Amino acid sequence: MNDERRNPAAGPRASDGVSSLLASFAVSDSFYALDASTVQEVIRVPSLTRVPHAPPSVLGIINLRGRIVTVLDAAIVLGHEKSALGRDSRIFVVEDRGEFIGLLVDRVADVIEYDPSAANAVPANVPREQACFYRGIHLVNGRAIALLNAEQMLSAALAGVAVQQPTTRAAA
Amino acid sequence: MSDFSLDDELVHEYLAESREHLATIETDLLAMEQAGAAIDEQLVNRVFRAAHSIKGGAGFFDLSKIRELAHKTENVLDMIRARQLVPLPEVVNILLLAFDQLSHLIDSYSTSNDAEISVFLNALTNISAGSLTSEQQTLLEQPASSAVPELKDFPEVTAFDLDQAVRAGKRVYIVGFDLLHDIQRRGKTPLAIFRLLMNCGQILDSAVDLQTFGTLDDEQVPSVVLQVLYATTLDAFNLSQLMELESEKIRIAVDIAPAAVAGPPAQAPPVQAPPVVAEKKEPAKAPPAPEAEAANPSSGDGGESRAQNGSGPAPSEATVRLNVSLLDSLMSLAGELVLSRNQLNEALASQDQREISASAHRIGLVTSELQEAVTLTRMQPVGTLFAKFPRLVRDLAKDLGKNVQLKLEGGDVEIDKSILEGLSDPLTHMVRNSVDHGIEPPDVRAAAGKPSMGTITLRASHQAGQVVIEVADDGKGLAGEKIAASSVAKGLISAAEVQAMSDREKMALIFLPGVSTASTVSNVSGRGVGMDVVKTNLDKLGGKIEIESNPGNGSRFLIKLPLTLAIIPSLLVSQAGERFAIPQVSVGELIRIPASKIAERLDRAGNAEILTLRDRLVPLLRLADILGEPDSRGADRAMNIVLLDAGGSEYGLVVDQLHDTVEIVVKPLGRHLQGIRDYAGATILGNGEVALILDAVGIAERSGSMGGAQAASASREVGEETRELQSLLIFHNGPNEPCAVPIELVKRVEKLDPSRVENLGGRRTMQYEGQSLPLVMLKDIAAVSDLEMSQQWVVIVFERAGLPLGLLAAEPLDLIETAADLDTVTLRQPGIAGSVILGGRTTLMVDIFELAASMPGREGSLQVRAARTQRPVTEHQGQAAAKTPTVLIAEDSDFFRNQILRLVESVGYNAFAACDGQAAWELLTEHADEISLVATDVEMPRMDGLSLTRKIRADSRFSGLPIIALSSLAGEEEIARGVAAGVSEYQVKLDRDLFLDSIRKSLEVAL
Repeated sequence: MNDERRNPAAGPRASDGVSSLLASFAVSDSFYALDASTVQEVIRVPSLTRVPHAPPSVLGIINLRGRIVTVLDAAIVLGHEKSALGRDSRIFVVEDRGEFIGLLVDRVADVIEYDPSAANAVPANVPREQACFYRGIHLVNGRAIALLNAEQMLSAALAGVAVQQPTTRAAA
Repeated sequence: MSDFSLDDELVHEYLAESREHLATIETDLLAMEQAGAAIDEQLVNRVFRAAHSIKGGAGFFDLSKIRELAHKTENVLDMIRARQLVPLPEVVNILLLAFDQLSHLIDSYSTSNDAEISVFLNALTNISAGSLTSEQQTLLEQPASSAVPELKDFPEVTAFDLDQAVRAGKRVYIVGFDLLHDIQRRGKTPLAIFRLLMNCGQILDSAVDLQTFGTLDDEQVPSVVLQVLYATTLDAFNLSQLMELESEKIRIAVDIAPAAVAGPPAQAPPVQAPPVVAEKKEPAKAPPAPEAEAANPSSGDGGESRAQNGSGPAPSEATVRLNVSLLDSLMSLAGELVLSRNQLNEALASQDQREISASAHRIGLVTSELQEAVTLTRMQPVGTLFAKFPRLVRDLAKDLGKNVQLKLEGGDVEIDKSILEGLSDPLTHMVRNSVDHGIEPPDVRAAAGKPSMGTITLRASHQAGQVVIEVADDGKGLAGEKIAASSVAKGLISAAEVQAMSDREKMALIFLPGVSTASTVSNVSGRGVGMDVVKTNLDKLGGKIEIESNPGNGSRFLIKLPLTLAIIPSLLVSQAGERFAIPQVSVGELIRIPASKIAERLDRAGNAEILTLRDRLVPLLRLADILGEPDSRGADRAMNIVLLDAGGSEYGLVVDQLHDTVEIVVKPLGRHLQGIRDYAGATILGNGEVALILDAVGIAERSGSMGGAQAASASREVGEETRELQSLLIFHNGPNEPCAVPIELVKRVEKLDPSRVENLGGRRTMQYEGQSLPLVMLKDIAAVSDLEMSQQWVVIVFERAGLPLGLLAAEPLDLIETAADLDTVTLRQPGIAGSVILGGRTTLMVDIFELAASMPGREGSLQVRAARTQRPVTEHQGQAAAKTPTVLIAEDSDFFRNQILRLVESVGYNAFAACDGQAAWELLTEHADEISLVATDVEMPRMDGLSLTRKIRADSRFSGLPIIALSSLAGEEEIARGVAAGVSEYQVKLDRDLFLDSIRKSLEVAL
């Protein structure tokens, strides 16, 4: 919700006919969406190379046409149980600050049109660390879809350094 | 006529070729200088031809200044070739300058005709004139047309030129090419014609005959005649055959007597040559030493430039020179791609699923290969960069009156073009520095018993998976004191700070802006701009720089460049079916021990395995352990060991299987994986799969003791973050729920029969050492699964604030030493500090302090925890604050910071925590009255622990404030450095009891 102002979909684009599209996906039993323009492509899960000692959210690395792409488990990043690879598992390839990063999701859902009137604020009970990467909750056919801020989310997955502020704490 | 532009493409071809010539001239000239009077004709000829072809083209395009200058250099070179002039340094110097000017003119060819070059012309004329007879000098001043009136179209040609040609036994012709009919219509290019001419003789001059231009109204196709004044040994008939020209287009200007041609070859041309006059038919002169070009057409320009392929610096940023074989492989890959596409189309048409996927697979493979090959096109040998230094060193040394020789090594090491370009400036600066500051003047060197000739070595190599470029000199070395003094004088650091510095740290001050060691400012260096810029530039390239210096014996700068895009030969190994690449540079040898010999060759020291190898003992690491996997290899199988060199220390890596050595393209890992030191990157294998590249040094560090301290200290020198090892006790909660706690918090672990647990008053307890031990389960506070009765239960006993506490857990137990990062976000919840990946499994890090705080009857401390996150200390604690000592903790690792914070709080102190030295300093100045002790980590970003200590010690407000330095490394050297900085005590991190003890003592002393 902090980022509602920055949400491109809420801007003039929605009204001038070029309404933005959201690519939605399912992780566990929840639905999420990313601005479709940030998603480069959606691929099946290729042969994945595990990286021992990587942060927990990192599933491994893949070869995407000669590029090494880090694949994160969206489930872990979003606070679910680790995903099990299934038939419907897909990787959303997202470009963030010049780097391609893969997000493993359980299932690809619809591409939906962004409707600002259907957006709600992020509920208060979303954990603080995660709230920063929600842009809002979107209702489609009575189902809640959380619109994600890819940049924030990918940063948060950087092994627990991104979200935590440098501490100067005090105590008794 | 300068508006007359034949064809832009031609001009560019000419310019590119000229640049190519100029690029090689410098080296050749320097070699000529070295050889002195013992002339290497090949060499001189090569330079001569280069100057010559530049001149020829310039005449063609009417670039008069270029032509003039090239012409004069040619004269001088001709004299050198004829041994009339010795290439003394002064001569070569002028030639070098002239060729430099030529380069400039060629770079700005469109305005070159307005350039002022008389200085160069005069200098060149003076050289040639100085060694000429007066008769020749007269000839030099006369235009050729004074002797041969037909040559009035060639005002630049002097009688001297003609004389030289005739003396060489040549005929001089005026050859008229019609640019349209003889050249363009026949599918030739003017440059090709020039090349042909130059292979068989010498072009004295060329001009386009303006008279022959037609007008647009002419009915006939106009002819554009290019007149070439050409000296050759060929007769007119042969010449017309060669040029495919009608004989009337070839006019002879100066002939020689046929008799003379047949005459016996003789030594040098006679000094008393008859005056050159066109009508003269019987000059009694010796026939020439054959023109190199004529005698040796195969070594002509075409062959020459091919031989230079790949080593000449790229003429401009926009072009890259490629190895033909690489181009071929690109072509064949493109061919394969087309083939696969066709197959795919066919398969699609016939809907043959199998064939479709096979084609898709092929296309995938070819694409990867193609991509790799394209990457290769960016690789350039370092030698192209090195090539400019001989000249630089020579010129500088000359300016400064020093004798310096430059040695170049490893010029064939390849790095990415962009890195190479970025390296140029820093390297130039460092080489300049070495000549200017490093190498002493000859008399000083002699007095110091060194050879008067100083040596600078530029060396490129692959090392530990990096490209290392070394600039070493045998000069006076860096004086740490001098640099420090200069830094203090400039107010960059304080004298107090300097006092606490090691020599190495002082030397590193040279990278501060504004520091210079040269006591006087020369026009070379010493103006205090420099090394900081070098460092900034290298930082941009992701490079590191290290200094080694031995006062009196020289210094060594090591530039370490990232692997990014580098191609390295690597050994492929596999472990549990996964492949890894190990850069060949770190591989010493491969060892296979048959199963029957394992017992004999392998020893154990505690937990460490040691291999006996030809009287040496080599520590062994298992890749399986490093990757945190169970070792699948049975004891009954042969053992494959890769002997690795980790920056000085040697160890053996036990792997499942050894494979081939292959060339791999190193690709960087994404930012989520940047911090893991075990890997130097990743690469794509032939089958399209990704393999991690192992970093020998990183692995040694993970393994802890061995080579670790060394590697860690090396990395500290270059300002890298060291990762600290922590020992964790692994246990289970649910059967598939591994958890961990830092082992130093654990008092003991005991197996437990669940029936011994008593449930009294809503509290779990058990009998323990005659007391009632409160028990807690993880699920009491955290959302985790329940312990199952089927598991083997254990109780892990902690002590907190003097009271024991038991955590109920289950087996299996394990002890792991790890540097893995604690993820404090993903799985964070009350009782769980976060998670680490251990042995490939996500492991929950249990927060004992939160657990303890959650115990009934300890709510007080729970409140403390809740408050601690945000609220400043003073609001919270009321009057107790005045009496309770407050400890300031500076520690960058979240994990350690929290541990220390809790430890300190658990024994009743107040605490402030800061994430680095800078933050600590700010806290300290803000809460100066409250803080009674500082506990600081040594390695921290922004301001490290020692700097913090120095800063505190330098401030009178904090006199007597105890400072405890905490480090995971506590070698004697570290401790000495700590003491030097003003640390009161040095403690190994998280030795709990010792640490608390030391706080207590320090506070007692202080109060």
